[in-house]
Amino acid sequence: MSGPNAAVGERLAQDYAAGFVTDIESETLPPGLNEATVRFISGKKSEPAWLLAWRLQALARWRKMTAPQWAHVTFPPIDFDAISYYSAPKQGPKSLDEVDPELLRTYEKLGIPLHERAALAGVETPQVAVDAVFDSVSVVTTFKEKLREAGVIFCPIAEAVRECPELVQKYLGSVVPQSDNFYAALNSATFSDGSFVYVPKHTRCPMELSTYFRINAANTGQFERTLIIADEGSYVSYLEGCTAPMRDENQLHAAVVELVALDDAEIKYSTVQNWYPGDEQGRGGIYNFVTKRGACLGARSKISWTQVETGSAITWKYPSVVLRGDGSVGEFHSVALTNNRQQADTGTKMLHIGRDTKSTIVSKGISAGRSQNAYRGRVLMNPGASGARNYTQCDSLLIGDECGAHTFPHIESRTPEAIVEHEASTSKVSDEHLFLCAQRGIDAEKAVSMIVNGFCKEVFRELPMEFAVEAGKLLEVSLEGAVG
Amino acid sequence: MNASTAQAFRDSALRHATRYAPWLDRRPSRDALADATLPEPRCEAWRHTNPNRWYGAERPARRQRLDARGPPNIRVIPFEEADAEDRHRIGQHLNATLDRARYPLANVNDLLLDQGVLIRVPRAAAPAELLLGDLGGGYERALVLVEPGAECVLTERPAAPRQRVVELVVGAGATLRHIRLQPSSDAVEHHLVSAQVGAGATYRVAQHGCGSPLRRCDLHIAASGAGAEIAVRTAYRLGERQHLDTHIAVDHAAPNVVSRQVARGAVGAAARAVFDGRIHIAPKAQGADATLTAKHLLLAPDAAAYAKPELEIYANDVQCAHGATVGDLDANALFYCRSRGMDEAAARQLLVMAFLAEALGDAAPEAAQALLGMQR
Repeated sequence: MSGPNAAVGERLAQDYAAGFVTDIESETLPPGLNEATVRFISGKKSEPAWLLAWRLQALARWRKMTAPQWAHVTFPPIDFDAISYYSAPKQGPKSLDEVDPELLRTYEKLGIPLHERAALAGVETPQVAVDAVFDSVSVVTTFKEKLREAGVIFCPIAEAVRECPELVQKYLGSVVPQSDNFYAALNSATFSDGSFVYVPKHTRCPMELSTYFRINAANTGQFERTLIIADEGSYVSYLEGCTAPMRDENQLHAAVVELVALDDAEIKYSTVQNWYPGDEQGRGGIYNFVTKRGACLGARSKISWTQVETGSAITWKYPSVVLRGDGSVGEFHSVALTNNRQQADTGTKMLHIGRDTKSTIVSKGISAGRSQNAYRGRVLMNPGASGARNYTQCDSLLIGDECGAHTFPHIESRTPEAIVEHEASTSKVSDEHLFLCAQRGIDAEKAVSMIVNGFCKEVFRELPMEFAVEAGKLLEVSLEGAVG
Repeated sequence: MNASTAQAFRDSALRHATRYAPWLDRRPSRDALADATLPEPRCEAWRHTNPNRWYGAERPARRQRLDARGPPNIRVIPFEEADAEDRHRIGQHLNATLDRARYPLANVNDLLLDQGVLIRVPRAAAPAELLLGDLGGGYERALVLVEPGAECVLTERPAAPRQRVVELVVGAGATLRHIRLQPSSDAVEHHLVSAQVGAGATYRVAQHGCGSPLRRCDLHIAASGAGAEIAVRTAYRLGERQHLDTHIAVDHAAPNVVSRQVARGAVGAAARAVFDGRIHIAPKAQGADATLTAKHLLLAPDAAAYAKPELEIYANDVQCAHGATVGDLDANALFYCRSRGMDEAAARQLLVMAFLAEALGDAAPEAAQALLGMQR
């Protein structure tokens, strides 16, 4: 192939950099959801009786619930009996050496720096611990020992159930109850794995914790459950990155993330989500229906969510903070980019219960192609939230005349002693800015990418350094073809 | 008729259709009502107002009153006095501007109608001034046709109706200034203003006043002609246990439409203000310029405000923005007033007045100021 054809071929190849399927043997449950499915998953994890009972209770509740219809997204009804609820790599690796080389190659393609650590031995660099989730089972956990020294527990949730059941039992479902919503109930019944973090009192987690989620086997939902507990006076930064291989059928991802911050604790949770968004005609792609919520239980605690969402065919996600402790702080920084036929309905909830609680919401939405991008938020000031404050800013940028940008904020104040401020704006990429760039010899695609980067700067600033670089690149790749 | 759920109310409305103006074709409304889902408690459009309270409220006794006045060249025609030509005109325009799916409660108005008027505003040398007062207190309807190029000031003073539906057709190049004054009442009320604004036309609506135990006001303005100009202003002052729910939807359905929405609410005692302001830009409505600001003051510990400014945009050449705030009076401003020798009550009154004045605009009607308690 040469000339224009070669260019086209090259372009097609780079459409979705993470689009590959790893061909390894996996053990998969036949499609369908019933008590036997739940018992099987629970049995596979050798779970205690209380957890099985909890799962079965969630299943019973889920059966009585209906899928929510209020989001600004459209998709055909999901047949929950056509989904397989468990898929695990068959080999059970004990150490890095035993890991299937093909699996390691997959991670290499994704850029997870597992080997990088050895190569960098002796070099002073910020360290990142990776708990890689491949389909539904955590395969390798590094730096466990170093974290153990600091007293930090960072392990697959199944392991946490065995090792520290009292913590899991105390906090599991305490922030996102089983019947919180349809997908949270589904997750509570069927979650197969996820991460567990406990940071003990007055401990600063010595490294950034990182998990990579990846949906691999076709038709298997990824039902992760993450639980992070920051005890009094502790600090932890958690990074979550997502990529998924290219598939034709829609895959359901219904994760639940629960964060608990006790007195003076701080949790920083960052996400870069780049799952397969479907092709230009809207075929395939991930359904990302996730419930993420943090509870600032303690006084002066802080939870901050930062997310860069560029993937998934449909995103339905509202990382929220319940500000219960007096003087607690909630933050939400988000960039959501949709292109082609992607649909995103994302935002946050800040529920102010304690006195002098503060929250900040900065949301940047970018719509291109024929996509629909909605911000949905809720700020609630309870009667006891005297001295509370919220500031919300959501801006939308439109690229192309067939996309949509929507803003649906709910502001509810039940006390005169709280102040809520919200502002939002929507506009297209300014012609003057493009003209200025063109004058300086910058082509349209690069100019738009630059302008978008500037538009998102406030959010990128909040990301850990490793992610900030990745996020910028991700936006550039995701916007390819949107201009001109 | 007294039914306290959506289902019971609908069944009752279908059974008890009125005999008023029997020549009205009520079939479309009857069919629409039979198929419609009436608002249920906690549904999104009635999230903070319980519609069952409206369904279950007593229907006021019909007053034999019709207070609708205009200059001699403008005809104000009660439906029962309409001649063949007017009946034809009513048949042609009635319900034409209504979005039945979005406002399913409008379907009951035809069926239960107590009093309706048709007002035609022809093009004239001087702007016409119209007054629309009490129309009987039950299910009221006004159909106002502002012909192309005409100019009109319409002042409405509803006297606590159970439901009032005002349909406005603003012809191309016409100008309609619409003032709605709503004093406190003891009634449970529903108001719907549905306006269709033609090319190059201007529609400015100001709705000011107080609350009632439950007052729901829906304003739906569709700019169907290119270059239309829309302005919505609303100021309200609530006390006791009043509940005012204002839903404003401005649809940009044509290119180059400019719209402005300004809302200011001062909420005291145990009152509740609900505000939902929506800007919708259709796919072909390029060149849209739309803004909305909604600010609420909570003046007492038990007061509450629920605000939802919405943007729904399907075109890209747009400039849209909205802002919303909820809070108490600015402590610094209060301190400044006190330091100039004003007592606390006077200082608070002054600041509330200044706050509400932002929504009154330059041409603040004195009657509106009186309603809002803005005399010093």
